[in-house]
This record gives sequence, structure tokens and C-alpha cells, in this order.
Amino acid sequence: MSNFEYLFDGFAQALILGNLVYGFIGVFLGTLVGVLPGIGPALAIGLLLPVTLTVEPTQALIMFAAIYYGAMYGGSTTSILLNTPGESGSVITAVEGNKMARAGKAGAALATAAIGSFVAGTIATLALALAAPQLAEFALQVKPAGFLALIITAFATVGTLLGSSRIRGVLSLSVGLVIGLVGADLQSGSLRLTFGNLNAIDGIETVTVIVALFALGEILYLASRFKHESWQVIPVGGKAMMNKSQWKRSWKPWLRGTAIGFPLGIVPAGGSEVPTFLSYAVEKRLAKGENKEEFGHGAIEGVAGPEAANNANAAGALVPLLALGLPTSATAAVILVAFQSYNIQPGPLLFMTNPELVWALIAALFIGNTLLLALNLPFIRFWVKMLYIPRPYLYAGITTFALLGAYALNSSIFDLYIALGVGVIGYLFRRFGVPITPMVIGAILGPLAELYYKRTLQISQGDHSVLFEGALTKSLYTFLILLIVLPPIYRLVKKGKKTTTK
Amino acid sequence: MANKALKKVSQAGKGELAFAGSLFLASLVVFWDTSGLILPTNNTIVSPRTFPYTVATLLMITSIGVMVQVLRGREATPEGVEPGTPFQKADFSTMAVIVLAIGLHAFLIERTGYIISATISFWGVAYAFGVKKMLRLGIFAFLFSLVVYFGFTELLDIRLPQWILEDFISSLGRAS
Repeated sequence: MSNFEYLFDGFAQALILGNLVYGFIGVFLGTLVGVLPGIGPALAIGLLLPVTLTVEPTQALIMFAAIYYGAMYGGSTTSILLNTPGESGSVITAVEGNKMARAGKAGAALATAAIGSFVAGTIATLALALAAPQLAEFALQVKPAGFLALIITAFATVGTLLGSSRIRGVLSLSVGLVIGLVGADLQSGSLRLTFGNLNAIDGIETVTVIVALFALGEILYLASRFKHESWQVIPVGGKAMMNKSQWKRSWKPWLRGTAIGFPLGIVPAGGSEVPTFLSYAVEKRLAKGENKEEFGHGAIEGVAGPEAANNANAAGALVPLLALGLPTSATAAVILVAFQSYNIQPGPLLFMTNPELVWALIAALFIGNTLLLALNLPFIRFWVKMLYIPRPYLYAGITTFALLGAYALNSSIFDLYIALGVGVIGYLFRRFGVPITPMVIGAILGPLAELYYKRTLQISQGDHSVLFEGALTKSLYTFLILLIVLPPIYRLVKKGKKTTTK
Repeated sequence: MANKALKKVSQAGKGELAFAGSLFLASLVVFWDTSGLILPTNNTIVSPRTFPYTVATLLMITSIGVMVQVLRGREATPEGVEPGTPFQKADFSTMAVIVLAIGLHAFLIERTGYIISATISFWGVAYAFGVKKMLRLGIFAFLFSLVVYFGFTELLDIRLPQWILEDFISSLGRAS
């Protein structure tokens, strides 16, 4: 069967009533968690992971994919009306979007965000359907040494590109790697960092870490400064729609945003910050005349481009997840855990062993994206109401769900104490400007990196030179060296230029 | 010299030094734990110590790096804060109530059952965030926990500890 036929079958699968219901629940919950400040898609899926014990894989994964896309839509609403970005990809949207809302153009900002997300989501999902099987086929020839190189590259890019400080990114990564160490070593069975605690032998549950970081850490951080913050929702006057000139100014940024967001999602560039910032910079540079003047005071291009980039990026991140089994964002990491709880390992073989599942998932993304547009624009007032939930009740509710998610997976009190500890670490990270995603990626991919390392050396009988054999590993390590060496050189050159002009 | 550098560091910077310092200590713990690993008797090509040592080294270097940055006056900007905003002292009492509420939840969940422990943690967190009407909050917290409990156990088939309320609930079930 060709991929097109598989996709067609996928649609037939996803449109079965039972599956469609889960898709609908997913987009609803996704939009909800996107709108509510303080919860993101990673947390929402983490909380719902216990359903993998009872719900069929196809249905659960359709629901999770819909949450993933839905949170992106909801997040833009919050950043436009509240200026509190619900997730990192919406930070830029808040810059121009909130100014538009203050100028009475909330409706247009919401519309360009939602329609742009739809356009970008559709194009990017199509690109995903084309790219992922190709990449998977290529990846079949990749040896353990190649995978190790891929993981190390992911570590380096996620660690150094996120946040404002490279060293803090790598610090976060190393803390994640330490968390990944806890428990019995897969091959020798040696117990590491368990300190005699029997509960720790199985290692620290990834979901517990994610839930604790994103919910409890966030709540503690909000608590540490809530007395200084104000909470002001800008009311939406009129409907969420655009006039002719706003359409005209939006469509090109949507397409450019998609073109920037998707490829940066495939390569592990560390989430949605980079593409959204890049798209914003491009739009600002390309704008002319009056429109350029508007940047900083609510330019519609500054909402349209980054929102499209954000959604395309989310779809792009699914490519390495499905084809290589490598998550490049926190949400992708949780979806990986969801696959694993069904004993399905995403990676090159996935398209051969579980084609129905993958294609139903991809089809569900198309359907979910359309549902989201239908759910968001006409019902925007309903979602805006969510912003008026009193904060203490909202935060208490988030804490309750987070604790439930941490406990329910293994019915273990140990996990609750771990959650509390990791939550405090999450607070400290935020307080001291250390990005959180590298820690999540480190905790998940660390054990995998060790496994590939051992496998490579076992095949080669301890000969380390195989680690650098092959075109893929060579080019990846070259890229890595450039990534580490180039920025300091660039800074030195820039400094040199400045002193000569002086 | 070190003293002089320390004097220049602000209050927030001292906090960050302590933070990075504790991560440095954590790296020492990883080194110590790894050196005490019991090695398998059969000859493995890669020792189970190789990877932990690498990780510990990375953590040690980066935590030292952050400390050096702070001493040179390059302190972190907390997330969501514009660079240059004056430092605000963290509200530790609010945070302490939340940590206590979460701790109580963990302590109670299998002793009193989910509904009571969740009521207490909900109540505690909302109280920390400034809710004044305690009784109303308590009733709401209880109802919320009840809905969550039955939503997850009945609709999603996820098991949660019930204990204390078990008899009460089953008697309700018999009555209806």
C-alpha cells in the first residue's frame, strides 16, 4: 500500500465514532488547558496518561494529539487577552497581540491567530505525512552509534538554544541526566542513586517529573510572587473576525511562519521559542511603511507569523518523535511515554509494525485541526470566560489534578514525595532563570543514550572508533562542534569590529 | 579576593550561589554513589560506572560555571520577569503553606482515603493564594474532590484509595 492509501485508511479509522469522540474530547481539553494560564499540553497529557491503562491505543493517542494541537490554539487566546503566555510558544504573540487587544482590535488578533494556526497546522501536518515515513525509512539503516550521535546532538541543541544562558541550559540538562540515572542499570542491574529505597529501583517515573515540574513548580513560582502581580483580562468587543485589509496583511505571514516553524520542529532546535522569535523578526524586517510603524504597538503581522510558526513547529516536532523515537520538546516527550505505556516504541519500525495506528494519528491531526477552528472562533466568548475563574481556585484545582496524575500511574506515595521534591526544584529553576525543557529531555533520553553507547561498544568489542563511523555520525558531530565553537567566535569578531569602529 | 567578589553579589545572587552550590554538592553525591557501585562479576565491556561519572562531571562543571558567572555579576533573570525590574523577595510563607498542603496530601492519601486528602490539599493551596471565606472554600474543596474522585474512578477506571469513606459510599450505593 502506498502512503496515500494508508492516510486514506487512517481517515476512515479516525472518523469512526468511538475515535472521533476522543478526538473531540482532546480538542476541547486541549483548548481548555491552553487557555488556562499555568497548565500546558505537556502537563495535560501527563495527567491523562493513566487512561492508557483502560483506553485503546488508537483512541488515547488521537486524544493526546488533539490536546497537543488544541493547547496551541488556546494559548494564543490567553496571551492576547491577558498578556500571560500560557506556553512558551505564545510569548511573542503576547507582545503584539496584547497591544492589539488594548487598541480594541482583540477580535482581529484572535482571528488571525486561529486561522493562521489552522493554515499552518494543515500544511505542516501534510508535510509531516510526507516526511515522517521517508525519515523512518532512512533511519532503518542508522546504527546504534548513529542514534547515539542524534541523541547527543539533541542534548546539545536543546541545552544551548533554550533560555537566555547556555550554561544554565546545560546545567538543566545535567540535572535531568542525573534523574535518569536513578534506579537499576538496565544491563548490569547495579543500583544507582537509590540509597536503599526499594521504590527507587524502577527509576523515577518520567510523568511524575513532568507533572511536578510543569504544575507544582509553576504553582510555587506563582505563589512566590503573586502579591506583586495584577490580573487583567481585556474584554473582547465584537466578534473574532478580520476585515479585508487584515486578511491581506495576514496571509503571507501565515505561510512564512509555516515555512520557518516546520523545519525547525524537525531538527531538535529546542521547542517553539526559536521559530516564533525568528518569524517575528522576519515579519518586522519585511514590513513596510505604516505597517512597520505599528510594530511594537500591535501589528497584525506580529501575531499572524509567530502563531503560524508555533503550530507548524508543533507538527514538525512529531516527525523525529514518530520516525526516530526522539522527542525534542516536553510535550513530545510525554507523548513518547504514552506510546511506551502501550509497549509501542516510536521509531523507524513504527511505520511497519503499527501503520494503522500512525496513520490514524496523522489523520486525527487533520480532523482535530479543523475541529479546533470550528470550536475556537465562534465560541471564543466561552473560552474567554475561563479566564475569569478566580485564581486561588484555579491554582488549587491544578494542584489537585497534578497530584492525582503523579499518584495514579503507579498508585504510589513515593511518587507523590518525588513530585513534591521535583516541584521545588522546578521552582528554583524558574527563579534562577534555568530552562526546564532540557531537564525533561535529559531525564528521558539519558538512559537511552547510555543504552546505545553500550550497544555500540558491545558490537565493536570495546573499540571506541566505531562511535564516529559513518557519514551521519561524522556530519552530526561536525555540526555539534560548529554549534559550540561558532557563537563565541562570532561574538569575538563582533567585539573586534566595534573596537575598530570606535 | 573571594570575599570582595562576594560582597558585590546581591541578595538574589547569593540565593543563586546557594542553588548552584547545592547542585555542585549533588554532583559529588553522584560521584560518591557511583564509586560505591557493586560491579557485576561477569566481564562487561562498558562498566556501569562510565555513564554516571560522565553525567556527574557535566553537572559539576556547569554548576561551577554558573557560580563563576554569578560572582562576575551575571546573575540570572527569573522567568517571566523583564530584565532590569527591581528584585522582589519571594513570598516564602505562601509557598510554605502550599508545600505543607502537598506534603499532607501525600501523608494522608492512603491513611484517610483520596477524598479527604484532596480536600485538604485543595483547601490549603486556595487558602495560600488568599481565599478568606474558609467554610465556603472547605465545602467547595470537598465537593470538588468528590467530583474528581468519582470522575476518575467511575468514568476512567483509575483506582484511588477510598478507605474511610468506603462504607459510607457503599451504603449510598445500596440505598440507591
